[in-house]
Formats: sequence, structure tokens, C-alpha cells
Amino acid sequence: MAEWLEEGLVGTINGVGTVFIVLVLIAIVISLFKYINKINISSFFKPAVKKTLPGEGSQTNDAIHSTPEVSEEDDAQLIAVIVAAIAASLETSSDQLQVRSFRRINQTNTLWNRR
Amino acid sequence: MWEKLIEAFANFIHSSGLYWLVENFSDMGYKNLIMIVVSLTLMYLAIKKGYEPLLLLPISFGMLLVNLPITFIMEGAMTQIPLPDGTIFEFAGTKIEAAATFAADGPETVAYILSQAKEIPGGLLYYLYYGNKLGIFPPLIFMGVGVLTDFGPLLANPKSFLLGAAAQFGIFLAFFGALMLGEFFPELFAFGPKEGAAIAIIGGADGPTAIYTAIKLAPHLLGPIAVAAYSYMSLVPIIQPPIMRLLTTKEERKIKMKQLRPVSHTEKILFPIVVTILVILILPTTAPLIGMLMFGNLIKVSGVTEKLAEVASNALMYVITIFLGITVGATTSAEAFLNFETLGILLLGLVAFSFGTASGVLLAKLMNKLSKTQINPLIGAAGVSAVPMAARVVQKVGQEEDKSNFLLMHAMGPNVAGVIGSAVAAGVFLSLFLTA
Repeated sequence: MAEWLEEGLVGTINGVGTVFIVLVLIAIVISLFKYINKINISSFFKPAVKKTLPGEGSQTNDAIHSTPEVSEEDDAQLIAVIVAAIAASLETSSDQLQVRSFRRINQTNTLWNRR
Repeated sequence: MWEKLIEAFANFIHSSGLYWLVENFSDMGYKNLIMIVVSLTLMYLAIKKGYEPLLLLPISFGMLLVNLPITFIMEGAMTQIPLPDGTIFEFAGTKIEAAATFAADGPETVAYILSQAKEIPGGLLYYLYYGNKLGIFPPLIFMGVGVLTDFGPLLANPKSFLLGAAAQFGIFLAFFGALMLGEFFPELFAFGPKEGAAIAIIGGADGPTAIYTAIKLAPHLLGPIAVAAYSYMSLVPIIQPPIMRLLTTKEERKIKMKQLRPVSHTEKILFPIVVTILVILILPTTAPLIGMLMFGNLIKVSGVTEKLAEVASNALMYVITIFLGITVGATTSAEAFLNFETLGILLLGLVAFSFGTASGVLLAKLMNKLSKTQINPLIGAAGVSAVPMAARVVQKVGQEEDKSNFLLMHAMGPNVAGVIGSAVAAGVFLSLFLTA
């Protein structure tokens, strides 16, 4: 076999083979990840700073969706304040903005006191 | 006094780049001029057309700087050695290198050079280029890429890894092609396995990976490889759709995929750690690329190092982008760029890109046939990486058939798997040819 052909075949088979083996191996390991949530070692890995991320856990999700103590009137005021703040920061007027939805997340540590 | 003034003026004229250009026009000057035009064209594409401006603009400006004549901005140090007869001998290299070169003439010569010679430092970009030459810049960019990458869609659908792997097939086909060109047209293309590997990685559609591989295996081809890689990446929306449409039926393009499951925070934290350990244990040569990519991702998802993640993906990445871009551009001197090899590289890069897209789509088609849940074959095209452009192209082509089909998140899986895939492919080449 010509040398270049041999080199090409060795490189190609080696390369395609390794790429597939490595990625399939990762895929297998990753597919086991879905069981992690069931064994609930997640509390072990929760970061020291408690934050709510989408889909983090059922407990926090409940907290997000259940904010019944806030009345609708309060919400209207809050939306007005938020819109005004965003308008000021974007240097536009508040009638240029439209609030489609908003929700409260239980974020005790805000940007302001984070370091 | 008058004569002296004229002489000084003549000297000034003779030392100007314009004079050099006119004097050497038929020899080298016209090539420099062509390269200047090329650099201006790239600048136009970056500024006016918005083609990968973050990199194409620094690259094209580096190209302009290095092709303006006699700037020596990319030249290394020079040593001037005064000879006994009063003339000055110029040695291209540092004082130590000069002394080592003439060591055979005896210790007196070495001592004379070390004490009498004068070392003139190299050009600005020559020194900045060390960040590339030593393989530092590309992994640092990869760290920023890691911060900006969300592996969530991949975690939700691990099968995407297969598509990320399939799309690397183009790389190996281009490698084969490079060896073939080198074998059958040796006078035009000096492509051995090292050059072939460096060129083929263009098909990985990943700037840092391509640059890193080129630096390690074929530094003399870095300029054309980087330009080809970034040009093709910006051309993804033009190159990919025809191939995608050709290989899929209307019905296949309309397939709606099941919504991805939510991914927990713990999984996201475990992912970069597990991948780092697994991949680097198997392929140690991928440590700089995969290691930095996963480190970048970990500092983001961990949630405890926000400041690090912010610096890595903003300030640091932009600083490195400037240095990397302008010095990669500076490797495209006329003699390094204007030759048949550059044409070969552009051709092979296109082959790698197109076949990568095709093999991704074809494997996705096959998976759709075999799998219980439906898979839209279009998402296979995103496996070539070029994050997130290739995934956006999938979304666009999918919506051409069905406005209500949202493939973006499904395409992001193969897309980020492709990043890992091309880094692994680069690792294979490095382990095969780095020492050979």
C-alpha cells in the first residue's frame, strides 16, 4: 500500500474511532446523570450561596410559583416601579416598554449586596 | 549645508516604505500590494457585512500591518556585530544565538560578540505572537467559550454526542484529501500528515482548536488556516442550508421534537468535572483545550465564582481576542499567503465543512429511523460546532418548513457536542503526529 494511503487510513480510522469512543463514553456516563436527581445527593452539591435556578428542584420551584400573599394592587405598583427603573437605565420612556409577564424569585442575596 | 540637507532628504526617501514598494515592485512589492487589498477586503467584510467582526477585524488589521513594507513588526531580534575593519555585520537572531553560531571560531570570538555586539529587539507583533507560538492564547479563549456555553441541552439529550461525533467526519476526509494533494502534486502542495491534520481541523469549525492545532503541527500554515477557518465559520449560513435541504425530505424537516427534560444544577456542575477526567484520561493531549473549556464552564455553573466567570468571558477573552487576532493576521505575510497551498487550504476547509454537515445530517436521519422518539435530521448539521451559528441555521431551515417548529434548543446539543468532538479530533492528531 502506498505510504500516504496507509498514513491517511491509519489517521482516519484512529481519529473517527477515538472521537466516537470518547463521545459515546461521555454520552453513556451523562445518561446516568438523570438518576442523580432521584438519589438526591444534590443537597451535597448545592452551592454555599443559595440561589434559585430554573429547574433546580421541586422545592424552590414551588416557592417561585406560590406567592399568594402579594395582592394585585401591590403588583401593579411594583410593575410601575420596575418599568420606570428599566426605562431610566435604557434612557427611554416607560411607554416604550411593555410588561408581558413578571414573577418573583426568592432571591435573598441581590446584586447589591453580592461581592 | 545645502548638500547635507539634500542627502538627508534622499536618505529619508530611501528608508520609506513607498520607495521600497516602487523599487521592489516586480519582485515582492506587488505581492505586498495584493495582500494589502486582501486585508482591506476582509476589513470591509468584517465592518460592513458583520462577518465574525470580533476576529476578522483584528486579523485583517494584523495582515495590513505585516504587509506594509519594511516595518519589521513581525521580525525577531537582530544583532549588529562591529567587525575589526569598521563594517557592521548583521545577524538575524539574538546576541546569544549569534555567539552560539560562531562558537566554532573559538572562545575569543564568543567573548568578542558578547561584549561588543549590539542586540536590537524584534517587532511588537513578534513578541505578542509568543502567546500563540507557546500555545497560550487559544486555550484561554476556550476558557471564555466554556463560560458562555450552556451544556444543558446536551445533558438533557446525551444522544446529541453521536451527532457531534459524526460531524467530525469531514475533518478526517479533509485530512485524507490533504495527503492526496501532497502525494500527487508535491511541487504545489507540501502537505504531509502534520500539515494535513492542521488543515483538516478547519472542519471542526472551531477557531481556537484550529489555531492551536496549526501552531503545534504546522505553524508555517497558521495564517491561511486561521483565515479559512473564520471565513467559513462566518459563511455557515450560506454553506450549510443547501446541503441540509439536499439530504432531507420535506417531512423530515417538519419533524417536531419532544421537549427537553429540565436539567438539575447538580448535573450541570458534575458535567465539566466528569468530562475533564474522562477525556483527558483517554487523550492527555486534549488537556489544554478540554481542560480550559471545562474549567470555564465550571466557574460559571458552580455559582460561587461569578466574578471569575465574568472576567474569563468578558475582559480576559476580549484582551486575548485582540492579541490572538492581530498576531494571527501578522502571520499572513505575502510570501506565506500568496501561494497554491493557501488555495489548497481553502478548498480542503470547504470539503471538511460540507462533509461534516452532511455526515451529521445523515447520522441524524439514521437515528430518526432507529429511535423510538422522533429526531429532526436537521439538528445533525449543528454537530460541526461553529457555536451558536450552526444551531441558528438549523432553527432557520426548520422554520422555513413549519413556522411553529423550534429546533434551536435541540440543535444546541449537537452544537456543543461538536465543540468537544473537534477538540477530541485535534487531540487525536496531536497524539499521532506531534512527536512523529
